[in-house]
Amino acid sequence: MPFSRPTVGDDTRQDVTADTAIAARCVDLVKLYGEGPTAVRALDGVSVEFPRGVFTAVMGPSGSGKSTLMHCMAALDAPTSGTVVIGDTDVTTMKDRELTVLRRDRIGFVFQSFNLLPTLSAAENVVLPQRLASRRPDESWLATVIGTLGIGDRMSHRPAELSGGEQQRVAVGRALAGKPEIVFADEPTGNLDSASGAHLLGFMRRSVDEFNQTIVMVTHDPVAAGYADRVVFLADGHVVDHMDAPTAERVLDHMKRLGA
Amino acid sequence: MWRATLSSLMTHKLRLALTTLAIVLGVAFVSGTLIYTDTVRSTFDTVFGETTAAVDLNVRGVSQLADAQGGTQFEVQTPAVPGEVADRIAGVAGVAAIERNVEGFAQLVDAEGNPIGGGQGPPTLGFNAPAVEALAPSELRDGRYPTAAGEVAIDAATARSNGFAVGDTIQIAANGPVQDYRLVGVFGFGEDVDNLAGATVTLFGPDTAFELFSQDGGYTSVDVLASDDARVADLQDRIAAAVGAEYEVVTNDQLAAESQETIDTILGFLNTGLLVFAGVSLLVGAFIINNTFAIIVAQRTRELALLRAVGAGRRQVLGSVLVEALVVGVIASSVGVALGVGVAVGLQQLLTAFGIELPDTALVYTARTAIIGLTLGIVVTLLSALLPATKALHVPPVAAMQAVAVADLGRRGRARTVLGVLTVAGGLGALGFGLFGGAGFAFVIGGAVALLIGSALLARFVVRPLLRIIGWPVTRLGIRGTVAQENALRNPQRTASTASALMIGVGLVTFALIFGASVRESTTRTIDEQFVSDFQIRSRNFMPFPAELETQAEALPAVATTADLRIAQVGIDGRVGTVAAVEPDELGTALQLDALDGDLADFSAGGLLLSDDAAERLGVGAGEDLPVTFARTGAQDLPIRAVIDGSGLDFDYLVDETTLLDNATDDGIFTLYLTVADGVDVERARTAIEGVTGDYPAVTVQDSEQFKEEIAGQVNQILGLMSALLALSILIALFGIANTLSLSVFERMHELGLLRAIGATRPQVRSVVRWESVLIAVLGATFGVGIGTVFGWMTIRALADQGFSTFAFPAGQVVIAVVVAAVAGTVAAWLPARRAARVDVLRALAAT
Repeated sequence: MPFSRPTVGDDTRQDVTADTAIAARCVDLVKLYGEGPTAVRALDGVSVEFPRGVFTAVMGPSGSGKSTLMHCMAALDAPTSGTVVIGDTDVTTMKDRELTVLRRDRIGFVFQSFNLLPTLSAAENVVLPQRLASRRPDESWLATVIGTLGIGDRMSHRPAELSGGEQQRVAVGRALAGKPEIVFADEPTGNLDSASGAHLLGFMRRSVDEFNQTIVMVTHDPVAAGYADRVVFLADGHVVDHMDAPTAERVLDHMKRLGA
Repeated sequence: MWRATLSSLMTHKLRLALTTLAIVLGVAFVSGTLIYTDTVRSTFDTVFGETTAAVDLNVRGVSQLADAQGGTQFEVQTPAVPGEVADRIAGVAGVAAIERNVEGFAQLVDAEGNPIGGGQGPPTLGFNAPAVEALAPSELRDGRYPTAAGEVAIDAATARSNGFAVGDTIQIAANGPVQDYRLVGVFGFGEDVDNLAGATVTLFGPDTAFELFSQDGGYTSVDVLASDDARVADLQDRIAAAVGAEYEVVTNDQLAAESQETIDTILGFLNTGLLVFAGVSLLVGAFIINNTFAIIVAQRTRELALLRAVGAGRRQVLGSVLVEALVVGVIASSVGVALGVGVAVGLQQLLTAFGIELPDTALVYTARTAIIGLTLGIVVTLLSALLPATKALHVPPVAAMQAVAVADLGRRGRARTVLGVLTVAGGLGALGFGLFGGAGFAFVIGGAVALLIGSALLARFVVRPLLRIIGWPVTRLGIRGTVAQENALRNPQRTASTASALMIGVGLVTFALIFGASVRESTTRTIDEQFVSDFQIRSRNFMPFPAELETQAEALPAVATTADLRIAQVGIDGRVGTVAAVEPDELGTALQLDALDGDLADFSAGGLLLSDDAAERLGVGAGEDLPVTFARTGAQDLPIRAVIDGSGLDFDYLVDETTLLDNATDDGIFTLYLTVADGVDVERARTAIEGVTGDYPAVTVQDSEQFKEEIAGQVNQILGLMSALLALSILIALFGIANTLSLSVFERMHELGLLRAIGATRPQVRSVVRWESVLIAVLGATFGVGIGTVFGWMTIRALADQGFSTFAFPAGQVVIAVVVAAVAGTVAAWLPARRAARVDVLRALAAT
């Protein structure tokens, strides 16, 4: 096992059966790549909801459409048909500029790599979306986030001077700094060693628990999925299953069954 | 390997286009210059061929100046041929007919009373109408040749452009005030040529022409038509024997060769001047090629390493880069030599716009032009790519396995620094040696080029501090400014190289501005010191004006005194120089001179005044005699009365008027100095004087302020022309900025994708690229201002003893130049910025 679940404290994960508001959802999402008979259906009628204050993992084998789903949900890519709603905003009809502002103000991102601008310091990277919006960052909130992430003493450094784990924590800091409605993370631990990965997932967990943040994370790692409240399984462009209160073992078993 | 190279070229079409443009424009400028000067030369050849075709022999006085060398662009008039000598020629056996020629200047006036032609353009010539049809240089198009007084014929081009037709009454000032003439004929030269290379030509009846233009009662020259049975060579000997050694008999071929030589001298100046600017463009192009290939090699490190890893030899890798350069060079040079035609037309228009009018005829495109253009373009491209290509040699195969491109600036960086320091030192040395040590123009040019290249090599050391200062206001704009500044700072070498290309053009513009301002200031000061009269009457077209103007001006009650200044060419110490002449008792009212040696009062007895420069060069002083060679009478020993401060004077020698009139051939009045009578209002005096000069279209009346304004105007005109010619090199530099930016945008795809993903709008991304461009442009302009100031300061100091007393820094104009560079930077960023803003977010993030 590369990562292990934190054992300290109670299991504070949300009870997803309770009536929580929906942070983001999609209805009948279809995404085609290419045209005609050779077209690939990356998403084939996906409908899924991501409740507020919940850490959801999206899992599936390579080619299952999990990254495509995230890109469409996060307004990075336009679906061929279907609807994506963030909060109560239908993003499928929005123009590029509105989508950009939506991403800037209401969504946070953590990618697998290339998360930071190499020419800016960690501190500048964290507040980049607010600076792009010409807004003053909320200093006390920023201090809380940076303190929680444990990167306070690294803020004046450039990304090249930070370890991979530190870089990803700065990226998470940036994702949270603007208090977004939802954070999308695409294989955030993909390039990290297990210890750094465990730290990062722990922080993401805490941001959900302590700040009531909504996180959607795409991963193929059952251990990473074990940090989530809920797992959505994708295969061949369809939602095939979901699991509440997952553990790494259960997810792995489930994956094996799906693969079989 | 070939295939890999070519496919790499084709996949980066924009890069290819931008890189190519740098060389295309330089090559086009070079070939355009050659086409233009070839065209002008061929036009002159045709015209002279036509005008002298029928003449077998030409007889003229022997100029005593013939052996003196260079130093003037004025053709020195030969001594006149008296009538009885002409008669003697006509009597020589084998002479079928002779034409007695006189020539001078005739200023045509248009319907509004303004002079036609003249000024800095081609001259306004006046000749006798042909008496012998067979020897006529011209061919009638309409009407007839003038015979009686008051009749003229003019060239077809001038008639056409002014709407003059046979039967019209037109106004002409020929060696006197404007008079009415009846236009009786319109002529051309041969079948196709309508004018004499842009000059206006007026023919007068033979008697009128003689009255107007005859010098010393003689003819300018005599054309001879041999009879059918006479051998020209024999005839030449017979005529030579008949006229004696005072006259020379030249053949048609000799005449043609002489005019060819004159034209080549004039065109040589023009050609060199234009080629210097073309060279600047090519130099800038070389910088850009060099920079582009450096970036390409850096970006392709992994690809090249992979080639090495799979077995490509070092030579093959080097070859693949050089082949790419060769392809770029061949394409660019081919397009360049083709576009040269357009540049030639542009040059024609440009020079016309700045008052240098030359005939427009069909363009002459020789094989030589194409060969020079192609060779130059290809060689420059290959040489510029050579250094970056050798870098590719050192890419180790293992780099293919490494994620980060290897930046091997360590040792190469040191080598570059050492080279830069040596080049700058050598350049400054050569420049100083050329300017102050009198080593000559080649040292100045070589030193300037070395200084520019050396500065470019060292520029990266100042990029960081300088960009922090320049970029400070930009970072105040918000995060996009900060990102732009950081992007410009991340590769100081690349930023320095890109900015250096702009440095060259802006540097030379700055130099020109400083030089111009200093000339203005210095001449203003000189005029204040030397302009002792109230008014000057000056020739507007570099042609002398008639003596009767002085008589008329002197007769005005408002005018107290007049002094005339005559100009002639003389030979001194084997070189042709300009000598001025005044009447000794008028000296004080004409010019304010300072004697450094001897006493100006001694000049009242006539003799010679010498500038300090000339005295030093010749090693003579007051009290000695100096042999001065005059065109008519040959060497005369003149007593040096005083050595004067020559700064600000157009001439090095001043003699008394009698000496000049007694010895020189051309002795026309160029300037008249007038003092207003006591108690007469200056403006009323001006009105009175203008009443007289109104009849002389080629002269102008000026007080000292107007004279200053005119000089300033001329300086501005030259500055304008230089700036227009340098604009091309600046344009090329902007393409260089665009090129670097688009390569950088390509390199930073991930970051741009990230920026867009986390919420940068397209305008914000565009703005980041644009501000980076502005920063590079302003940086380059700042370098340019710095280096231009160094050039300017050194040049002005070097010319201090030639009247450049003041170093002036035109701060306003320099600031405008920098602002223009900044604006141009935003234009250069247009395409790369658009490209950056259109980055596909997902693909950018996914790409590795």
